[in-house]
Amino acid sequence: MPPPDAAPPHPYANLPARAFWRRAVAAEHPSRLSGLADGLPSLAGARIATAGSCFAQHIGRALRAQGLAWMDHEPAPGFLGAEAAARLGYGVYSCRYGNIYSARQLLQLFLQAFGQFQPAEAVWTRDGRHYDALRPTLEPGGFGSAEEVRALRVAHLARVKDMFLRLDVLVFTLGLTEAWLAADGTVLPVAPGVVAGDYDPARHRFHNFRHAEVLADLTAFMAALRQVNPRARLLLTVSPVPLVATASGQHVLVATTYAKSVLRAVAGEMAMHEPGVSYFPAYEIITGQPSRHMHYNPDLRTVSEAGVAEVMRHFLAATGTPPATATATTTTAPATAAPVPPPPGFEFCDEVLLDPGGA
Amino acid sequence: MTMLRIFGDSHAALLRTAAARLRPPPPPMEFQHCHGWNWVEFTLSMREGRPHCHADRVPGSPALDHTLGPPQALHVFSSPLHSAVVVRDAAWRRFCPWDRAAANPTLTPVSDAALEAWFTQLLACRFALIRELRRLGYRLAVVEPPRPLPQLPALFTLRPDVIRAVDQRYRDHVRGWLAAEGVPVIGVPEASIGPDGFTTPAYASPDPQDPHHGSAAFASEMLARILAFAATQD
Repeated sequence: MPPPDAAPPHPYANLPARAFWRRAVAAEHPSRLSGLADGLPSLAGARIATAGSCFAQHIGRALRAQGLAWMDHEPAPGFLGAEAAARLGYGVYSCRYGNIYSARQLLQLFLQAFGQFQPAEAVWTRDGRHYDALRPTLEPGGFGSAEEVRALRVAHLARVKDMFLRLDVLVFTLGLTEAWLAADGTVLPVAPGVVAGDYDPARHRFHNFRHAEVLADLTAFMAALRQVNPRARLLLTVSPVPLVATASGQHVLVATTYAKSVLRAVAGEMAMHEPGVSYFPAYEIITGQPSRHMHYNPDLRTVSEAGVAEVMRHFLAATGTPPATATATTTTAPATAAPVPPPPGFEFCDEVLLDPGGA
Repeated sequence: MTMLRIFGDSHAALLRTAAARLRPPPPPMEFQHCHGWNWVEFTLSMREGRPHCHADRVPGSPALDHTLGPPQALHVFSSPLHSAVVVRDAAWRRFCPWDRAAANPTLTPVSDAALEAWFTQLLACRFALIRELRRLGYRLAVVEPPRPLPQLPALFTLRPDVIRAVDQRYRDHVRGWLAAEGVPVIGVPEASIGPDGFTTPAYASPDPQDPHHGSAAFASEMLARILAFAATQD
């Protein structure tokens, strides 16, 4: 029988310090926060692919810098200088798919790679140049012909397919719920007319994905991935970068909260209920109260280099990654070429084109 | 006849040899050749009002350290259309220009923009020199070296159709730039180009290990073309 002055037992009585805001957050300097993520897969020796919104490129860069086996699966030819290669979309993500902002876009990329989906609207034009509608900023000046777009897309999808077959861990950063869809439902990474193509309200429609849709798309993607690659694991993050612009009719601040809330909720639900799926709280590290928004640049949107470093400090600790090794061991595809270090502190981001003056 | 000054890479050296064979002797000519003209980053400065080019640490070559002569002569530059560095790059064992991808399914296609980015980087110094010469009032032409030699694919284990495609793009890129700058090109004779886009045997170096020079006949014919061009400039 407990002594008369002892607190009665309750479910919180024996929880660790991390369960209590006062001890784990309020009393800790933000740089001393720890133990934010559980159950992340070990990345040691794993083949790691990265994809997602703009923020995802920081993760790939950090993984490479740490000497982990980040997959550079559509590498640049060795004759391209690092700057030119990055400008042409090499080495930014594991393949040259550009920004993948939504779960539906990821699912459709997978289906295309495995020949199960064929977008009706694949090539855009502007000023006599041709653009891959599914990665329109891949080559900033566009291509000389639609045939060139198609030839490079066929080769790209072959690399993407091989990446899905070989990867051990896919780190995917969810970025947006808002999207523009073509008539056949293809998700376009940027609204038609922004980079190229013609916006036609009869063919293009705005869609703001709901929680149930994002969850269904990610679940379908994971099931499809597991079917071709049973060992594959999915590590989800949510980009802390607010929307550049919204077409929802809401204030952009409100629209941002909706998007990030949906994405964060889906990521959490996937991690809780879907085998092989984990969540890493990059979003919380940047947007949470301890940081007092100090990790944002003056535009209150883009994340500072210090913020990215803080995210990666937690990420590497949570994935059991030792301090940086001297030599990166980026795994390159058979068509290997010189590794391409993207310029530090820089993001290739289609979304900023929605508001060029604000970039 | 206008004084001729032929400068550039090893193709200029072959033109000098051809000039030495000419009977009667050719009009006044000067030659300056150094592999450094092909170097990706030579330094351009001015000495006594004339352009000076310098590049050291050039692999397999003495340093380039040359001040061009006064602008009254007709200057003929042999380096910009020299495609050897481009066509024999080891990348072509794994990559190909995008329009060769269907014929070479094991190679990864690269876009025209990727090639343009590479060419632009490679040619930056040479194009800067040409612009400077034009600004200073030099009369200038560019002489074309032979198309890829028939022995090149075997020497570098590369596919002939890929070499041809890369060579064509490179030459088109350079010719397009020169045309925009108003710099004439003294091109190779049609007879030196085979139906496969490679140099015909009579115009190719007889040395089977030589990957890119023309034969004595090629050099003589190119010199005759240069002299004919110079005659139009008087």
